[in-house]
Amino acid sequence: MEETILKIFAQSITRYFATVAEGQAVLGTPYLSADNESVAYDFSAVIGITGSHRGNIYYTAPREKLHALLSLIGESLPDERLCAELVGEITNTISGNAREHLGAGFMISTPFILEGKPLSVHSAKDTTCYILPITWNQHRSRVLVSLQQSPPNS
Amino acid sequence: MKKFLTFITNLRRRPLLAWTLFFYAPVTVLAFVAILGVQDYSRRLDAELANSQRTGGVVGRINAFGEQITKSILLVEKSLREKKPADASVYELQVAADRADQIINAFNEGSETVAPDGVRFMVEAVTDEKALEVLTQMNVIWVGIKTRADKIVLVAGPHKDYTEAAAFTEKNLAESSEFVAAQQTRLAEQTLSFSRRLESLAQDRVKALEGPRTVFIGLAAFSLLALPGVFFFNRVRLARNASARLAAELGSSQARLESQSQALSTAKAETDRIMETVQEGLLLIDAQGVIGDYHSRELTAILRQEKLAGRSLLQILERLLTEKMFNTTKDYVALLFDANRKEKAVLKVNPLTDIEVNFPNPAGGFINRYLGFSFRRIVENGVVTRVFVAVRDVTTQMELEKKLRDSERHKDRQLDILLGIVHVAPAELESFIVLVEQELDTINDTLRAEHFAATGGQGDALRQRLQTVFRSVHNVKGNAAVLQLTTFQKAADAFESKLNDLLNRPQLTGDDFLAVVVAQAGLRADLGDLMELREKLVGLRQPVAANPSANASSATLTSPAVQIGAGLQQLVADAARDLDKATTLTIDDYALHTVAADRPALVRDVLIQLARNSLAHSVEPAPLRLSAGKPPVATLSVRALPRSDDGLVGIAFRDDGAGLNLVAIRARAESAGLISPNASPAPADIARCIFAPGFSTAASVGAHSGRGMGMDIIKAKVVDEAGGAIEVHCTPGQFCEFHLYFPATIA
Amino acid sequence: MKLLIVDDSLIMRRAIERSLGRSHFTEVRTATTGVQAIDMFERYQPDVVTMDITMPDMDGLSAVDVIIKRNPRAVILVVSALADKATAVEAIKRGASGFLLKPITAESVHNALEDILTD
Repeated sequence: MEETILKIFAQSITRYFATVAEGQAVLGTPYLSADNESVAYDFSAVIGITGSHRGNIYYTAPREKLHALLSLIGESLPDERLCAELVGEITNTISGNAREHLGAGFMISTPFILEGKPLSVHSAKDTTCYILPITWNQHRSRVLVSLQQSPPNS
Repeated sequence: MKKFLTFITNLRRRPLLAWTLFFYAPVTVLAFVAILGVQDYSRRLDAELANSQRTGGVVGRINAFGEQITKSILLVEKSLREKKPADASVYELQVAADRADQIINAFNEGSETVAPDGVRFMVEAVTDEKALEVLTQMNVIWVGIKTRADKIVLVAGPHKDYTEAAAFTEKNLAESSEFVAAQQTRLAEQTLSFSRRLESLAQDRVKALEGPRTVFIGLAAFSLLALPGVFFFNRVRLARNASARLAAELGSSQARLESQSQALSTAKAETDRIMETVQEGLLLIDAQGVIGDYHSRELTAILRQEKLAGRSLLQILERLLTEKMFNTTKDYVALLFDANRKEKAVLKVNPLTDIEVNFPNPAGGFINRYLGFSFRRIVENGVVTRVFVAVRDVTTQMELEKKLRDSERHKDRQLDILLGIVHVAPAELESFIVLVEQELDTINDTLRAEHFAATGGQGDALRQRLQTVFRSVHNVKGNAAVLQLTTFQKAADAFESKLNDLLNRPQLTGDDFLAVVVAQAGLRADLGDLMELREKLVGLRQPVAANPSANASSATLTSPAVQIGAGLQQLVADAARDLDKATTLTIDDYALHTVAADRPALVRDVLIQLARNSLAHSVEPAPLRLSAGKPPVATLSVRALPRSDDGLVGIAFRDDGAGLNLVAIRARAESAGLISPNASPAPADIARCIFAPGFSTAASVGAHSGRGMGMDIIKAKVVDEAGGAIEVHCTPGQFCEFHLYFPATIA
Repeated sequence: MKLLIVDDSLIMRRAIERSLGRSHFTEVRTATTGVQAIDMFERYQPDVVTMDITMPDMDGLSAVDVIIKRNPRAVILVVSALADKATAVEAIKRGASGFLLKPITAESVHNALEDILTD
């Protein structure tokens, strides 16, 4: 089950890059977050999940990657603000796309942008945080999936 | 008497009856009587008056007759003088005299006579003194007149006896007429006073009659007036009483009304207060789900919306629930209002006792809450007009329940683990935990590693990672088996399966590792549980001794060799039992110690692997052994080896089973591409193939056998890791020995 | 023609504007919440609206609901990352003329617009 969810998110992110950047995003080996490890790149956004599942989805990427993407979508002058917006947009898109398989019960919040680099990832208690490393055009980024299924009575 | 008294007392209660008895009836009677009296007296008065008139008339006639007599006498005189017949006059004289005489006699004696108006009536004899006096006078006078008149009549009358008549001479006539005339005057006077007297008598009589008559009139009038008057007065009084009572009643009912409305407004104030402060959302909905005007304040807080009255509860809920839940809710509301369904049954299946709702957070995201709904029907005339709804925010409750459930579930698992590990010595448990931690870190590091191996493309690098992970997991499994931690064993086994699946795939991508990382997370969780339980076990421990060496190992100062030995014994015993291959193990502790002192874990792992391999692949079942002429119980042994030429210390692990099946190995090697079909390698070369990764001749994979990775690990550990050497000595069908050499202890 | 772009993401607004702006429209306005969208629609009376769904202060579907109720002939293209069927159906049910799934490209927006304009 969890595997399926991770697959769904892996698909979402690869689809994003395929559509917007017309390039291939490659999933590296996923792993678990260690306690004091900083997984964040320059920009991160998090979306809260409620409904059929409970937890968070993060997307974090370095400046360079975001700049590259921004150019591709037509922003000639990428700045800090646009990078923040983009990372939020990507998080939103991959979370929303996940509903294709997870259904409308998978409710997503609006994205919350996190500034600054070293950031400890907030995952809910008793919830494993999986890290999906993505490589595109030599740039790395990460999708963090921290979800658990909600109890059936809802 | 008593009856009468009760009657009287009854009367008091029946005023109308009393009045009737004591007033109306008598007065009515009185009225009648009075009227009758009046009538009577009036009649009498009338009679009297008539009488009086007639009497007066009659008396007047006396005078008239008197005058007539006088006149008649004169006429007779005249007639005589003229020598004419005087019959008419005599006759008139006679009549008048008779008539007057009659009248006077009537007065004297009382008799009937004729009034001037022709009515015969009764004249009473006079009794009044004064009248009598006058009458007596009249009588005297009359006698005189009458006599003379009679005489004249006699003489001059019809019987014509002139002789006598002649005697009656003119002189007599003249004298009589003078006399009569004079008497007549006197008579007139008398009759006048007579009639006056009679009149006054009559008046007196009338007055006497009038008196009572007046009284009667008065009485009648009084009665006739009193009756209705009193009646009306009574009625008025009653009416006034009634209206006074009414007014009083009105006043009191007004007071009641006021106090009631006071009470009502107090009640309403109280209800309002309740509605303000109650910690539940209370409301009424109609069949369309529309909220009534009156609801508790808390409802707005619970539903996070103002202005709820008049809005549809269903519409509000639609935003907050999942589609599925909303449909269920809609259906349920319909059921609530369907009077054909019994309320009890409907309430029993309430799907909204605790439902999850998600309120949109204006700042973005969701606010997650649990709400509990309870319902009651309000039925009027068999129709469900309203449903009473109570809503509570049960979030904290739900969270607690969830925690409880989770913790209970967790506890169950933990109990399993606990039961599994209670026999394990704390030191062993500790080292196991450390091992697993290390292996998990290794796995994670491997997966995380960003660098790519220099050799080969991505696929190879991934495969390498996979293998590293596999080795770690395998190690965990082996150690778990030693300690009989079946949960871990199973988890590790499942993990291994997944890894194996992947290794068999020609191409590997990052996606494939998703399963890996999930299994890793599972293992991590199990380790967490184990660590928790270990904490709990401190202080609770009772050494569970299956064999003496286990006992010995519960002391914390045991040498690693002894520990390893004990573990191995256990492993062998278990595997032997499970595989139904009776086996014994003998260990040269000292030999073990020399190699294991510096690398106990490694040696342990290796020996574990060898032992399992032996049992799985080499050792035959007892019948087979017997038919091969071997003792039914197999023997495994660990003994010392002499130092190698390089100065390495060594131990030999031997089993007296069938050893290596060279034919099978060869076949496998060919299919794995390690040996070309045409080649005819030496047995030693064939044997060496077992050290190739992924090599296995086992027909089936079980908990005790590896998946052919065993020898590879062993080689990696002994040779690569420890810097030692490994040799295989084997006589197929007889025995199989592995010689393990390690660098000597660095002082 | 007038275009109203509703999305709380600056990137998206600019991207859509770039994709559609010059080609079909003379005037472009933007809004970032459902409430703003309704307001802007009233004041500006655009010919076409693109509407995101996940926004603060009233989501896009609710805004579509309100706008269509007041202006039944409004042309609204819902552009959203929510990929489940139920959402798409709901959008059309509420009166949207079309549904476009994110991530978008200039081309995909273009095509979607063509589709709803030629209906």
